[in-house]
Amino acid sequence: MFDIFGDARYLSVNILGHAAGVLIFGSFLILMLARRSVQQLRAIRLSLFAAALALVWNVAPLVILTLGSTHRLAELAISGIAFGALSMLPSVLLDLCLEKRFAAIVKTGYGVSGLSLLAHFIELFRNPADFHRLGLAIITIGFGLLSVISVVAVLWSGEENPRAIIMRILSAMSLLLFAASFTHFNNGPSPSAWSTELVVHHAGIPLALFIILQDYRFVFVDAFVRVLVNGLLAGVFALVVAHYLPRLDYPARVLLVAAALWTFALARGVLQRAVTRLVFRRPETEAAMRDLRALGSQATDESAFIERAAAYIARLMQAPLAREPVESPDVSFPALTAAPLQDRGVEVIVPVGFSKAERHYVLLGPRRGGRRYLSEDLESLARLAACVAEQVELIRQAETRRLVMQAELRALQAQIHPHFLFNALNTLYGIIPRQVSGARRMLLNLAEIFRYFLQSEKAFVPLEEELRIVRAYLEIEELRLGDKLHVELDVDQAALRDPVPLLSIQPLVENAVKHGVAARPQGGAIHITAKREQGRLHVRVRDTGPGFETVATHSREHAGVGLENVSRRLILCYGADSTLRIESAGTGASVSFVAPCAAGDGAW
Amino acid sequence: MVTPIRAVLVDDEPVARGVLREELEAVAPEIEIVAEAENGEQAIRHIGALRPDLVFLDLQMPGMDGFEVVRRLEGPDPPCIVIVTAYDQHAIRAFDAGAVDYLLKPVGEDRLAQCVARVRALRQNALAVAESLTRLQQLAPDARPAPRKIIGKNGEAYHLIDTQHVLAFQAERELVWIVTARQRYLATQTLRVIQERLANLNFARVHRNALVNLDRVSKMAPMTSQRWLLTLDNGQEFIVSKRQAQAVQRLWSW
Repeated sequence: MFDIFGDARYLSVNILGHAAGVLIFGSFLILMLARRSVQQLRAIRLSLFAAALALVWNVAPLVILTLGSTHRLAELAISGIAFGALSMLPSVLLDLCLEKRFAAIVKTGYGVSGLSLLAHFIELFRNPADFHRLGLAIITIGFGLLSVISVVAVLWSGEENPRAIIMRILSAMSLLLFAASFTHFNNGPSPSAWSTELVVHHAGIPLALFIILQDYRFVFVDAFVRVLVNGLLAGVFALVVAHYLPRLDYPARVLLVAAALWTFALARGVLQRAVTRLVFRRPETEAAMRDLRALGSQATDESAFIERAAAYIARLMQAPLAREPVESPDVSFPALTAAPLQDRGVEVIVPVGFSKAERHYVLLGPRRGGRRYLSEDLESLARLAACVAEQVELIRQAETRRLVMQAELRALQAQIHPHFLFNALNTLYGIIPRQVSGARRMLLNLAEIFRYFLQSEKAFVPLEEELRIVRAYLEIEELRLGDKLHVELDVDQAALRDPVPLLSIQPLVENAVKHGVAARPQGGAIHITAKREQGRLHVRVRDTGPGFETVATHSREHAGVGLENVSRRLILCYGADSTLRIESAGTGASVSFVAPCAAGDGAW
Repeated sequence: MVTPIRAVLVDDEPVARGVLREELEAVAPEIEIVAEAENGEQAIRHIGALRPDLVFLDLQMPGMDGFEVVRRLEGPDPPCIVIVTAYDQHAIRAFDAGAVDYLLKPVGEDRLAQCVARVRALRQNALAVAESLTRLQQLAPDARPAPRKIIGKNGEAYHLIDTQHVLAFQAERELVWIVTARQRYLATQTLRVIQERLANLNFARVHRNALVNLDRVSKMAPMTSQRWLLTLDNGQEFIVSKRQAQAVQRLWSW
């Protein structure tokens, strides 16, 4: 069908191959250069160098074919440059593979490349075939050896994950050596031999892609493939048009071009979608955002929603959620992680920015099937994160409304009940004979606790005041639970005047009694500690119960309303980093918080 | 031998009075409960007639409440007031400054013993008792205008004097006299301090040495071109400057 391939079919395939190579490495270079700062470019300079060498390697034959055999010297010069690039490529690849390990091996690699380069240089003036072979032999043997040495060195050095590095070195080098050795058995640079040689050169294309794209986390590979697909499609259409155009009369030409343009536009859309679906298996962001909004509208609790949304996003990306603590990574856009986090299984940090400069991070692990996070994935992650933030904002508004309503209700209750309550307790107190001192004491404790609960005008109280209520509460519980309850209080005397938020400790103790002691037939112990350390008050309530169902530090799902309330108020009092810390070991639960001693000075 | 403390219990609930009596007998046998009152009027009568050392006063009572009882107290040797309340968070905060002590119902014995100890200590200082009562009277939990009572000393006893009964304050060297229709009391504060405290009331500084209750001025007449004679309704006369007389006139004619 295509006459253009007729006589010179063999050659044409090579032209196409090299053209494709030029296209690939050209767009690769452009993409790498386009979106990066100088500093980032410095970081990927080896990848750039490799891509440039591969580009030269592909451009050179095209130039030679264009020039034809008339310019012998130019052909020689250009093929020299091409083989120079080929000589340099393995050493750059080795350098990339070893990632700053074994400088000696890398230097030797560059030395071998230099030798090969020298051979190719001499080739220009002396017996070409001999030196051509010599150069290629140097590369083949030299880098074959260096690859083996590198593998041994990696194994020897006790690398954490040697498999990945070894696989990389071996696959890269064997592909390259395959390509190089094929040319080695060739008869050198003669025009007829070029064609076979060129086929082999295409082995270098997947090789370079393999190394640079896969192993160097080339996040633009998706954009890259799109450019490529578009280019190939345009090429196909151009061929068809070029083939038929001369045979047609003028109106038919116009029609053909119009039809070609229209089908190109159509085909391009179809192809793009197919690439998105088949190659990247990318889920539709819009649908995901709809799902997230649905999740948000059902949720009542902010953190539960964030958990569920994070799980949803992870499922969408087919990656596990990572739970590594992150020390305020300074990212405002989803970003691939660097070494220390990456080693702990975190591949991507997705910041979810709330109002008031508050930021939450969703950490994603490696994707299933070794797939990469690509630039478009990061972009859709950014949109999803924005969607989550928007939902959190809505949930917060709802929560604020709910809290206000709760407060109003509480205030209403407080207006109606207290006089009645305390007078009734007083009457009860009077009815209980003085001799039944335990009952009277319990009643006094009860009244004290109720009174404490009802005071709402103070945000902070001295630690000792809160502890007084804790003791009153525990006395009541001791009467109720008897031997089942053991209490240990360990409080810094110096900290007694330190301010703590009102009702910040009692609910923790109540929770510990409820879940850690009362619910267990054998009872349990509660340890309350309040210590001053480095100017901060550390409060911890431990129990010997079964612990929380989840070990998650930030999960309040199982912690109950009381703890959630405390946690919320701690955040309101001290800021976002002062949440309740819930830990759960096999032997019990521990709930703690840290209060800056000076924060509430003069607050009451 | 501990001096007995004579106390009156004021509470509308019999059980509440019973609890307090019982606990007082247990923790402070030296306290002698001379009367119990179940409303404000009874309380005023008992306190007026028995002149107790100590009053346990409930705030919430039908009719005249505890606040009103405090406001109406006057006369010599005012008692220590201990407020007893079921729930009055805002009032309680105010009492921190004014009352001898306040107790929250139900009152535990430890707390009551602590309160009695405080009363015992305060009773050593009659002036402090009187002052704490005047402070308590200033506390207005609602829109009621605060009564102005002032402490005056007559012999060894401190009196609580309503300012409307005061004709004038007169300074005599270091002493300041509180002049009423019946007798003179020695004030516990300087004329300047008294004038500041009574700024909102109808008192005027007619002379360097005198602060006069304008409600009790019966006559004002010029003596010379520069001096006026000001006569109070008990017949006491003050010579004032024309300028001050005119100021008085202005205040008078509003």
